[in-house]
Amino acid sequence: MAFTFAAFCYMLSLVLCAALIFFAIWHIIAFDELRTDFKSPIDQCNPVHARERLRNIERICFLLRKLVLPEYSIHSLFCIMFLCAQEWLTLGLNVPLLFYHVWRYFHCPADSSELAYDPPAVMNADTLSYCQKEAWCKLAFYLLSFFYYLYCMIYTLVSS
Amino acid sequence: GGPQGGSGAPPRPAPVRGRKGVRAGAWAGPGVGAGAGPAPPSSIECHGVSLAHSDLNLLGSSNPPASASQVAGTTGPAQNQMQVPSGYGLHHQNYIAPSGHYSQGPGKMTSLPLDTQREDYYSGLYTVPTQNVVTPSTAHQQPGAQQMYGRGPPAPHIAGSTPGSFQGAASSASHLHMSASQPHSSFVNHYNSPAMYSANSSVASQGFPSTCGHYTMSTVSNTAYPSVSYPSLPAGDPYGQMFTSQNAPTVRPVTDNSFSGQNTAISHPSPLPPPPSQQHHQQQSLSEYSTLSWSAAGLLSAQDNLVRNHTGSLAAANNNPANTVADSLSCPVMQNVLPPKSSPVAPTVLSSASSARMPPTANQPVEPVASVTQPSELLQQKGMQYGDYVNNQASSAPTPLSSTSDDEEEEEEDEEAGCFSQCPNTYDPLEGGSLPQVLLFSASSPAPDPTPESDPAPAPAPAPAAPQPSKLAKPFGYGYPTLQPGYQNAAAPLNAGLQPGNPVYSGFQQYPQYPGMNQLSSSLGGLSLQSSPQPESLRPVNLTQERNILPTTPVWAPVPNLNLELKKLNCSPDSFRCTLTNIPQTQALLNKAKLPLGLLLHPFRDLTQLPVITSNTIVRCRSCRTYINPFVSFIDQRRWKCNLCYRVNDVPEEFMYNPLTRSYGEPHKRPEVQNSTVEFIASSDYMLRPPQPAVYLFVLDVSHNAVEAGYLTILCHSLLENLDKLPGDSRTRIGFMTFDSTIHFYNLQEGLSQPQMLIVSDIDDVFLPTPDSLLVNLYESKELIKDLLNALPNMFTNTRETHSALGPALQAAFKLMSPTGGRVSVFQTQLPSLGAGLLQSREDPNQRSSTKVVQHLGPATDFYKKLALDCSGQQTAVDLFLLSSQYSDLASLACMSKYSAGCIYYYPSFHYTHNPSQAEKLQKDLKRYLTRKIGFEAVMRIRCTKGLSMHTFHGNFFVRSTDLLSLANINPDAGFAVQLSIEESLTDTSLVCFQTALLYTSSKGERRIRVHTLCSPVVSSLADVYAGVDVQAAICLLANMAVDRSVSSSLSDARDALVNAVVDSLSAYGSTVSNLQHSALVAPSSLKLFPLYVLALLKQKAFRTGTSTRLDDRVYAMCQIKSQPLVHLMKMIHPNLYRIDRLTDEGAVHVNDRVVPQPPLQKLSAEKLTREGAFLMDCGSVFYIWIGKGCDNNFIEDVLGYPNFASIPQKMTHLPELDTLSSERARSFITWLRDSRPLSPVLHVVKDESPAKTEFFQHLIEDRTEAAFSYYEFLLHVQQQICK
Repeated sequence: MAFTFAAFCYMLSLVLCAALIFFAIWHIIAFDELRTDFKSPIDQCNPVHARERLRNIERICFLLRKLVLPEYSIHSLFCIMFLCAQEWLTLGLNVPLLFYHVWRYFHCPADSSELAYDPPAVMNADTLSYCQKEAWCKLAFYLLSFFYYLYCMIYTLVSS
Repeated sequence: GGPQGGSGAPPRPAPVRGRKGVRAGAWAGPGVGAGAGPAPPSSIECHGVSLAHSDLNLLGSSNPPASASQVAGTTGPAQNQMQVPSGYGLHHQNYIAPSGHYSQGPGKMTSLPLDTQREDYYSGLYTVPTQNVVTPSTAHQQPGAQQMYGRGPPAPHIAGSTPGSFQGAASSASHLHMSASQPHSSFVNHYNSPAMYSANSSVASQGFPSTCGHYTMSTVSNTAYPSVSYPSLPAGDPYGQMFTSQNAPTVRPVTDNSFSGQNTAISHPSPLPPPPSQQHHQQQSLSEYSTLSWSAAGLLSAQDNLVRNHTGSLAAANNNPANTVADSLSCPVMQNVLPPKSSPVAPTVLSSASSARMPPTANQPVEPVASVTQPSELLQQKGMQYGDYVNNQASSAPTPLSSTSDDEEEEEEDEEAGCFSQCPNTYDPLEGGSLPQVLLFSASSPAPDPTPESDPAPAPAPAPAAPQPSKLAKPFGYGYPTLQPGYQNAAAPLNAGLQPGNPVYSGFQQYPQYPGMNQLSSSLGGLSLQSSPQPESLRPVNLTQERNILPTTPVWAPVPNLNLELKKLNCSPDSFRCTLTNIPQTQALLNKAKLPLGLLLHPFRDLTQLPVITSNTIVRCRSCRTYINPFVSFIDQRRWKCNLCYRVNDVPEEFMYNPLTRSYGEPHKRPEVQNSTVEFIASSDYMLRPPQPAVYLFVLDVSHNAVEAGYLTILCHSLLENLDKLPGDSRTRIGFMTFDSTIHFYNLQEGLSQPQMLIVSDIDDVFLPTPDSLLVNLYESKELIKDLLNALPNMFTNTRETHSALGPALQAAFKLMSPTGGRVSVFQTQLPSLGAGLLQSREDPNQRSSTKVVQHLGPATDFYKKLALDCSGQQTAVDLFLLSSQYSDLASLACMSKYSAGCIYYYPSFHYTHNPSQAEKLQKDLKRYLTRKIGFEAVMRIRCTKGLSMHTFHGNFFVRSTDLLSLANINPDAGFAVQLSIEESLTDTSLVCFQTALLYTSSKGERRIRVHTLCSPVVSSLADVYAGVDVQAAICLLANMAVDRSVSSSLSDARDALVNAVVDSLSAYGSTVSNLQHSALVAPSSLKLFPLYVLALLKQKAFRTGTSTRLDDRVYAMCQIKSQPLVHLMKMIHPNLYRIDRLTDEGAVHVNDRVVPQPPLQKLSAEKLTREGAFLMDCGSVFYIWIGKGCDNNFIEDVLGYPNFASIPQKMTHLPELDTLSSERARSFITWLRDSRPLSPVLHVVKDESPAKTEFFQHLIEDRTEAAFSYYEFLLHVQQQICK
């Protein structure tokens, strides 16, 4: 029973992981909203609705973009913490996602100062479904890792 | 206004109605005259009805003798003569009946005599073949052909002699039909004794005096070009007499066929050998007359096709005999009586066929397919099914006349009385005077018809001739729609109007019929897999061994392997194309084929004819909101089944009433169900705010750079010229802004003595100096606007301001436009250097020819994209004209148009004096830009059958929800592409449909919906998938995908993906479908151009590496790929090369009294360039004329106007108007090419060995360059990759 650095890492990541889970859920909802336009077709064709809808899309995309950096940085923080705590297994589990995030971050359209979730681009059905799948996967991953961190935290607390 | 912009449509109705009136009278008159002979017209009309009634009985009674004669085959003239009187009686009744009732009726009436006519000729002409054992079959065959010939002449008449008025006349189905049939009657006159057919002749002369002219025309052509079949005539004549008795019988079944309407189409291809079917007919007419005729209607299941077809034709046969027998019997007699007269006629008929090969005749444009294929058939008596295929197309249209209308007339005479003249009237306004589908179909149909090619060996004659039709037809499809109403056009309206008919008997059951018929008709359709072991499109081609892969005629869109009915109804490939005309059943199958699946759209294309429908309720599926279309099925009269989601919907009460026939209970005959391209005038449900007025704002760069370039003069001049032609109504508003480092507004408020310039220098926080007088009503302030336009070019001549505050100017423009929406035209000449959205130069000139990485293809800032989205939200589109001599970062600037559904024009190194060709191009482009049709606040939704789903869209728009594209503006030159995937297996459906609905506000403030529906068959085998590849559409879709890839990933990725597309598809084909050895690079014939096109794409400005390409040029090419419709894009990708120093009239087409030569396409290789020649390369937006060093001085002198090669100047952009034959030919060819596209291309005359020739040689994509493969090397590379 010792409050090691590793235990602290797990406790912190547990809290942050909850935040990430929240982000993932929010993503899913957001993409769902982007995908479905609840107006009747005739309404949809309405110029007034067009404006409303467009503003909505832009707002969602803006929020999505705002969330990208916090999410990525929180996750990289995990990795750094686990690296410092020499929790190799946990680090190993997180590294693939870290690389994915790095790839995502630097693989965005050439010169654009912005990240993904560009309103015109994100509305394409395949981009949208990709993003949605990604969000679901992340949700699953974060959920699993949440319980894993919980277990590990208890384990480290108990074992030493 | 009409759908085609205001200009053409409005004047039409008037003449039409005039004619109609005349015609109505004329028809009623003659009918009467004929029926009662000398009796006064008034009494006759009453007779008409009663006679028609008795007609039925007469038919019954007269039939047996007739058929008896058939069977016997020997009954002599005596019997005929006996029949004559009764025949006459019948005739007239028929005439009268339809004239009273049906708009189509008259057509049918005339066609009857015509048909008899034909019999006569043909009996004369074909007696020679008849002697063969094959007799019945030939006879059986011929009629189709004859019919075509018979109809041929009228068409040129439409096209050539009075295009304008005829277009007008075509406004309703009946009209077109009438006009088509008219000439027939004139034929009759000439041919037969005037006395006997006085009725007809009077009709002809009264209704359409012009027919006579036409007739002579065709005779002339005949003499000018004696046909192959000509010789047979003299022979035929003597025979004609001998055979009269026999003729009647032999030909009879024929006539039945030709009469039997759509049934003919089916019965022809039916696998039964002709003789039996003939027997059938005979039997039919003998015994089963009453029972059989309506049995067709009852058969519903798909498997019954055969039976149904048969019965169908039988039924038709039965119906007809009454009329036909009489005709056929009576006519021969006449022929005998008047042999000298008959012979001149017969040649005319044939001449249309012969002239097809010698195109200068007036007939030419009209019936390319038909005539070309058929002659060969006539001569050779082989490849009958091919001929048939064509025949069917041809004949099925005219035929419904008899089959359907006959039925109707018998049943419905009572009601028919007076509505004939009125119906068309009511229909007219409704329809907007047009039936475009027909046109489109006829334009496209020739091309894909692979039949002539598939039979190369035995038919040497048709092979060379056959390609022509497609070539001939193409221009009509696009550029000269007016001309094309060839014979098919003439026929089709009938079809539109009548075909679906049989309303009483079979009615809606025609629709369920489709899928079933599909099989059968396709079996002879030349595309089928059943009849021949390998369809043409699947013929394996060894790419490395076939040197001349490029056909000499333009490549055509393949036609989906549907039955004729559906084919005819299907959307024109010019508006709507699918990369795979045969849709694979599952995604797995699609993945196996490794081909892209997607749609290419040109939804707002300029159409000459388009049915416009006003109706309170627009019938749509309740669950998926699909618009009712020709491919829905009617379960019964009150219910229809959606073809996209399969929901059963009710037919609303209003829809039951058919304005076309003014009858109730015929939902399947409504124009919505007859045309796959229609336009609805939307009701108020479709708008929340009143439709916006047309608002145009011009934002002009007036910095030093811009003034130096001098575009203002051209723009202002062009605007002044076209101010009245700007699309719009009385509410049209216009405004101007200029900017350099400050923003200048112009107050044009009515009442001011001169335009007031308001300068806003606070570019960080732009505001509008006055709220409402900056956008002014065009008509109220016209004088001020003109003043301003006159003053603008000189206002800034001495400016020293070099900065450009484009961003703030755009923000101001956005504020100005927000309340209304509309169009902003931005003219920019340099990199924006001030305020928001300023850009830095990103191009490194040293990297222009880098083979590795091409950077900066994406935008540098989000400013323009955001602005575009804001604009899109306010229904404002931003069109960008970039006229720069230096790098201007088009990649960033283009965003303002891309996402606001605008368009982009780029004029590199523009200068009004130093670069006159660009200046001229700008001028011409502006003219088009300012005057073309425009739609505001548009949305486009694309729907497809359940199971398919759309992802990625390409084009300029904003995707608002997953299937809804938001288009602030839509213009006729915008093209779109959509990628599709198959989400659910399509096993339980045989057809899939795609529908685009474009809702827009016209410039006249009407809310309109343009709906296109495309139908494709579903296939389950990989071979079928390959057979249906539309290689051009696939290439265009790939190009769009590659642009996305190069922006999101990298150019080299995109290039690899393109190569992989070829490698994958060919290797998939090699390993699954073809069973040939793997050492050779084999592609199905449908894909044979795929590697060539991909290579062309790799060498296109957008994707090439290694060749010095300016970044802006590259980005512009990418923008064009994304936003151009397929027709224009293909020329950009793979230019057309023609040799023009030896233009001949061989194969030429006639356009507006001009002869347009049609030189064959050359492959894009320097090996084709001979020093002795001159070549024209058509690259879409540029024409190059390359003059070889050793080019004939005669040509240089006659065409270019210089004595020899040396004296040709380096920069030559015009061909002088010289009065020589070769000059005329060259110019008419170039003008013709030019007319076919919206943006006028620039012409460059390139001398061999001039520095400009590199530009030209860049386009010779089959050759090797330092940086890229030659075509052969590319093939080897592909082969290597496959083998790996």
